[in-house]
Amino acid sequence: MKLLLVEDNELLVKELTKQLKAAGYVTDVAASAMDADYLLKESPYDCVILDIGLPDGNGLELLQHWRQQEIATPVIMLTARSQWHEKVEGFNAGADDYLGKPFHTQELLARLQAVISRSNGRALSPSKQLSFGGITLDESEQTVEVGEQRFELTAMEFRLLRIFLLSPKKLLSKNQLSDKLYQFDDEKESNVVEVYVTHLRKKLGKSAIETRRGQGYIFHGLE
Amino acid sequence: MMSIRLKLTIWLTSLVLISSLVSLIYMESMLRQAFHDSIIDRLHEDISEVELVTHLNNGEISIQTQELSGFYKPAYSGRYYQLNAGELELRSRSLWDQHLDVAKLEAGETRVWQAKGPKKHDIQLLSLGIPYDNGVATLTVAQDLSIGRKVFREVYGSKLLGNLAMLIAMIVGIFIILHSSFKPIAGVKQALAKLRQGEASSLDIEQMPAEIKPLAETYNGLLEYTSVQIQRSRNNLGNLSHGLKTPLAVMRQQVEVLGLKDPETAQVLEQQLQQIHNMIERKLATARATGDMLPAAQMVVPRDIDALRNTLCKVYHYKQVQVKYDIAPQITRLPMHREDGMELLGNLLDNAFKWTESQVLLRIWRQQQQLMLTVEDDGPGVAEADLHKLTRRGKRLDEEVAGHGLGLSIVKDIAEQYQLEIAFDRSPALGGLRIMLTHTSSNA
Repeated sequence: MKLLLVEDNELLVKELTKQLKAAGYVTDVAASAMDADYLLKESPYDCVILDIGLPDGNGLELLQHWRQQEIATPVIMLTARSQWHEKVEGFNAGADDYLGKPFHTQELLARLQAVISRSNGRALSPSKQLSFGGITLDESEQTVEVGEQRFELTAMEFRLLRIFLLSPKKLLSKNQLSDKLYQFDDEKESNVVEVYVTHLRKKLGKSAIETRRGQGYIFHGLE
Repeated sequence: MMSIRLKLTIWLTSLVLISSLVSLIYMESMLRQAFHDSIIDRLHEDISEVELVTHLNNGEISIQTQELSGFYKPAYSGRYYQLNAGELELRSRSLWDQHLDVAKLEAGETRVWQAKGPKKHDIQLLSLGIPYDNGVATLTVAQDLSIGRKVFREVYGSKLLGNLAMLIAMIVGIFIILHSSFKPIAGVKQALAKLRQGEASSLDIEQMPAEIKPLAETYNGLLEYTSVQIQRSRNNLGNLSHGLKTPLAVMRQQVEVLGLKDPETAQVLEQQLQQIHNMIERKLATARATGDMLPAAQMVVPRDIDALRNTLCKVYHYKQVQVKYDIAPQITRLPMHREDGMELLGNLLDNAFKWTESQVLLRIWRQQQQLMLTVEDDGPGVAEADLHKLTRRGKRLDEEVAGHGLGLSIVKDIAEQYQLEIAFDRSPALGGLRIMLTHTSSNA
């Protein structure tokens, strides 16, 4: 799960990336509107966290620009401008959610989860857990329930399983998966997806993830 | 104060009335005098004519009537003469059986007077004392005034009618002139009304008469100045609060991290941060609520409410909420700055969305001179005992009634700035909480 955090306050960025990482997100940071625009057009993100007051421009205008270019990546506005008329402007510009500063990290994480599942066409279950075909992911605990059993997940396993749960029954290429697992400037190891798919199969059962040779993987759950 | 137009109307009309009246009275007396003078002149001519044919010498007294004008012949013709010499009295035929009462005069003396003559008509008389053998004879000529008067009345009456017509024309003229010269004032009134309703942001100077132009220009200048000032202080306050919130966000992050090691300290700090945050939100909302503002910046209904509803539906995407409006069609604006109105209604609707099962009702209408606004929901509502706590002034709502926190505090603060009365009760239609705002407008 890959995020783009557009925020120019270094301290805030430092702490927030740590917490986002702990929650299983890969986060790229852009400290200016220009960087953000470049990064978003270069690689796929599952969600953008966007500040309004940027050193080289206005976040709202940037968002409008993206929406005009039909870039549909979900965007959460994270801004000090939290009056209602500003929220109205934010949503009108194409934001998917709006959170005022100062904020609780838990609140941001909950909204990220909701926005990302919605953008994948998957409304969250009432318990706000991702679930498909008898496999349920607990995002706060980073564990998985397979029928009656519960397994701990490593950070990478968790990230990979979440990607699968958000797009079940869909063919996902190795590149698509590794893009979402790594930060923009990380060195990508070629076989890492295969390694973690193998790990997941041990916990979920062999048939949960189908391999299409030369194409990628399809997640089936326990069916 | 009496309006200038009414004052001018009264003054001009009475001036015209008085001057016409005076001129009529003066004219009448002039005419009457002239008429009188012409009759006297005429009598003087008559008397010299009669005197010429009168013979008073050597005991013989006679008047050569055939030498005189035929007017003296028909009975009661209106022109008469009479000669009194001692016991003798010679009368014109026209006097018929009547006789004029004539006082005796000295030689060369004349007398002019009026009396009742034949047929009881007023007559004008002129007598002259003429000396003869052994005494003074009195020759008198007279003229019936009734014919002349009749003519005079006709002439004067037609003049009076003419004057009356003129007078009416003048008064109508005054009304028309005043009306047309005060038309620009009506234009100014309309321009002001437009301004008030927010259809214009300044007075249209081109349309103003020269007398009012400087006033309008000053007004426009003042309007611009205040709106710039208000905008400036709004921006400054906005910048201040935004500037404070990012460091606050950093602090809260740090406190959350600290919470893993030292939960007690973190909790204390967290509470303080929360208080600072609430303070900023509340003070920002109220300090920006300037009360008076350019009407063009007012909240437009239902456009702005639609925008709020759409936003709230996105914020509460996991709920299926139906928002119904019941807004009186003649209400197109709320008398508050758009940003304040959005903040007020945003928080009211947010509160309703938070508690509702599925229905929210917003009503705006005018009752007598009051603007009324209610927001109702079908949620659990607030217990009777807690309702009055919501209404209490100066209390922090988040301390009082759980769940109706900062948002309603901001609503109360803004309401106070705009002198809106706020009341809470149970919604008769939906069963949840009903919040009612009343605005007693002075210029509705």
